[in-house]
Amino acid sequence: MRGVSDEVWDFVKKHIDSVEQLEILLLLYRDPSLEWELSRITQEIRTSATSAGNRLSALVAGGLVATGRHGERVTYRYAPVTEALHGGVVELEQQYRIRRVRIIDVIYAPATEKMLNFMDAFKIRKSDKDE
Amino acid sequence: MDATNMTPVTFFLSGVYMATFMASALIFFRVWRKVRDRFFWLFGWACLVLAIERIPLIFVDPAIEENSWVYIFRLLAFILILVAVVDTNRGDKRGSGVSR
Amino acid sequence: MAIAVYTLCALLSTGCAIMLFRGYRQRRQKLLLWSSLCFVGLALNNIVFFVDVVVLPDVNMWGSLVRSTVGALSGLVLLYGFITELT
Repeated sequence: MRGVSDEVWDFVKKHIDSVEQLEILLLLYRDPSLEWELSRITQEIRTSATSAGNRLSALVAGGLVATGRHGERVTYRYAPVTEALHGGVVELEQQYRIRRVRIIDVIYAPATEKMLNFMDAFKIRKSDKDE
Repeated sequence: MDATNMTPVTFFLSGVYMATFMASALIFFRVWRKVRDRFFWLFGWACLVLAIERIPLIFVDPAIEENSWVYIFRLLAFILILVAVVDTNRGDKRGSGVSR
Repeated sequence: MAIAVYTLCALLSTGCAIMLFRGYRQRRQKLLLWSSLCFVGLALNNIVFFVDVVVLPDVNMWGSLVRSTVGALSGLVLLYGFITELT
């Protein structure tokens, strides 16, 4: 029904709230040994520095990206804190390569789910739904 | 009949009401296009009718007895909502309805 | 007749508000809270009309001002909920 595996769905639901964030993550994932400065990331992804900064903060908070300091410069690199997280990224990257539109749908699905919850609120007999 | 009860402020607020419900109607229709459940189509129209109600209110004052026909819009909007709620409950019981 | 309609609308609005608020308590989703508040406003809108026209038939400006304000707030609150939760 969702078009993707449960693992990918859960991973996206927990860690990815926009296509921009996904592309930043995958950019860093491409070469985990590389450290990126915000300005380079902004250039590659073609977005605003503020927006990219917010996405990176979220990724850092989610345990997918680590920051480093080189004197004045702050850098970012791909550094998942657990094997499971890394596995999630690997699978997500594969899926994004072969079914890009479906993954984009998954990223923005929460909006539809919220509206469906709105509709469910009007149902008098609650059926048991898995969250 | 003069709309004696309407001041510029109330006209303004009436406009705000109309614009926001029209926007909400569009959002409901957007969701309907994606999800294809007539629940959202009905809510979209309910919002639209509520918005449209504002137009005759520019010209007539519903507080005056002879103008109280304006309520027909409101009634229609809430009937649509009632239909939406009833319909979604019946669909659920029968097991038909949107498959997620 | 008009009174019956406004009463009915007030009741239906309240019903919707209650259902949505119940849903909010269950799922903790903000959209349900905002839409619930919108329906509360719509209910109030109808109730104020009832009070303004039936209970206090002497023409005053406050009735329509309160109605307009509550109505506008209802619309704003719903739209706010949509925009912040769906985009």
